[in-house]
Amino acid sequence: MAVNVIMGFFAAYMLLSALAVGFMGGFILKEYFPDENVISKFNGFFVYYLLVDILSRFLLQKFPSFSLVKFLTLNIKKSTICRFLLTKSAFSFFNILPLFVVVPFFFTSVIGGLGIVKALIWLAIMITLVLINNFLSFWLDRTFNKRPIIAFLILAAVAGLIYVEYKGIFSMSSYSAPLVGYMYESVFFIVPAIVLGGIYYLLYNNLLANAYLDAGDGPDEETISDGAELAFLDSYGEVGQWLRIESKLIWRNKKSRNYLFMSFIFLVYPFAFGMDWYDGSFMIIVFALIMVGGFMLNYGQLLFSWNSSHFDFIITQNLSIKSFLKAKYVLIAGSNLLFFILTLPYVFLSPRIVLVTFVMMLFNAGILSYFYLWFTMNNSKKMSLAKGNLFNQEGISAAHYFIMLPILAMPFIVYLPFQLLGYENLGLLALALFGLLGIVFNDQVLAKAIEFFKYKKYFLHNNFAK
Amino acid sequence: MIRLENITKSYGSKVALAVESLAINTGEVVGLVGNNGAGKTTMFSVILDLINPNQGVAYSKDIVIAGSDHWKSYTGSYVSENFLLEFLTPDEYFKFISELHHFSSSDLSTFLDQFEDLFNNEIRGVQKYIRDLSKGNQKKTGIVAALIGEPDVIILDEPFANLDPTTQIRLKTTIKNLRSPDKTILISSHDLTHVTEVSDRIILLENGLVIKDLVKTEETLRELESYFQVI
Repeated sequence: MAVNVIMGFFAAYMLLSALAVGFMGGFILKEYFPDENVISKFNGFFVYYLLVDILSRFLLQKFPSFSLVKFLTLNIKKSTICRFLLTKSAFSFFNILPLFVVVPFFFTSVIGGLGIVKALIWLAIMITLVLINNFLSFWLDRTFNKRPIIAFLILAAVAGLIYVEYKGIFSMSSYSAPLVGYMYESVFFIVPAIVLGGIYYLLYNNLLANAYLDAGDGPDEETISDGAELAFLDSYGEVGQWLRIESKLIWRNKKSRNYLFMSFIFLVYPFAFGMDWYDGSFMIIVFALIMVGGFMLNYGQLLFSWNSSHFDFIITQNLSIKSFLKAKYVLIAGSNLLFFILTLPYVFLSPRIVLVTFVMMLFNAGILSYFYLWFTMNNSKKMSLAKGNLFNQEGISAAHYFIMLPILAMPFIVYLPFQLLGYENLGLLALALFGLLGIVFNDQVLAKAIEFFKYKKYFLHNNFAK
Repeated sequence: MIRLENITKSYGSKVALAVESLAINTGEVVGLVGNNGAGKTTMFSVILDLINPNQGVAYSKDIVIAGSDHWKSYTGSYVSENFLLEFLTPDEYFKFISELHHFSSSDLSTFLDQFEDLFNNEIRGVQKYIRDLSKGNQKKTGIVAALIGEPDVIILDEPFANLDPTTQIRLKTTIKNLRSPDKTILISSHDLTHVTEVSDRIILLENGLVIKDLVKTEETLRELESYFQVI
């Protein structure tokens, strides 16, 4: 409920911002690019937006293909169901949002610039492009569930295009803006419509051909994927054995696999903010925390929800609570070490990055990992591991949105006083010492966690049984 | 072996279980019967430390169950799919449980051989995750897994539900073969015929209360049937 309110506010904020951009866009573009054609400039930006749009749809948009199975037994023609699902997807937030930009811009700038006929063609082209994105993402979503590699390659290509555009290496928009221009200046305005029709037709056939209970739209049967066997873990007793099982959990379920991939994105995420953050500024603390802690931040916030579908197994099997909790701790604390190793090449950019990632690895493993252990014992909900969408809200409560505040505040409370006094390296040392203390007193802290878990497990069992 | 003292569990004003004193003795095969909501699963959940009673204490081998790891080594249970690791194949699942009981893989293989009849070639060696098995095969996997490690206490909730007739009959044989002076077996079921056949003591629950506690005789099945007819 609270999550819906937050999402609602977020959506309203986005729509209002879009509206502002739509109304002001013409003036802003004229202000910054006085020599250029406003509409052509807008077209360039819009193509850029469409690229970002594909990525964000992939992460956020829920496509209704999974609900296909629910309708199959009803007395409705399959073709009607498929058309209904496709039409339904067209009314998504992601298709409405760009309209809030495009329509005001159409009135303020395009009609005046092109005349009403061409302006209407322009509007039709914009809407068509958005719908192409919609159905393309729908198709990607389906492909991702069956052949993740292909979808990943396409998404990587899109991300690459955005990157080179951003870096100014190759500007796709400088080619695409005139391309969009040709379209409404000539008979080529028909091209986007044809593309849209083609994609719609392909997707419709794909849905129709798979409109059977056993065609992969239902609960899917996967081939056995082993990932790494990680047999060496067996020599670490029960803790190692459970880690091996949990690593299979991560590798064999869509949602956890996506969370894992997401963690790797966190490794490069800070560079989206340019290249200056690592000299001197305090942002290096946050970014180092995120880089080494990507897995902890993602997977850790649902630490026990991952086990919601087999929680009874964990409670009743001959696996001690101690081993289970220790394994959970080792998993998220240890991930910091693995990701720290992956940050080592950054030493060529600046040795200071690696110094700070090392410090934050200690702090994450020795302080924040316990925090997640404690937090998830109090905030865990049932969730399905099979629903792959990264931003699927299942298992997330409003508390998960606020947990980032204390997580980010903790290292600052330690570091900031030193930085203000000008002793930045002492601040780093303090962070490292706190982390080390947490690691040294691991047994004592875990003993407390075990006591707490014995009391909290009924609450968790109850939440997971709902 | 298992003792419930003064146990009460209620959800709001609804009493799920209220047992003054109940002792299950070593060597007994106890059948738990009762309509939906009678408290069968709640009783099992208390014995398996899955829920916390509002008051009262449950003991296993005279040690308090709540919060202890002690009973886990000798208690095998299957209550619901939540007892399965759904992302493993049945073989991996059996292997993991046997490792937790320090079984060698050859011991496990010999152990599993005796259930070939029950498995009907649909469980062992199957390259499927447990989540992709049919309900019946999931249940078979869970029940056999509960028997790994020679447990002294065996708890099975509705073991006959979702199984095909042949498997139900085979499972009855399996349970009868398990009977031994040092094993305590608790089974709940809606199938009065099956449960009276395999048990030597029947406990009838209704609205959380123990209504009848009978030593099984020739008359027990008829007595139960007439009770449930009237209710």
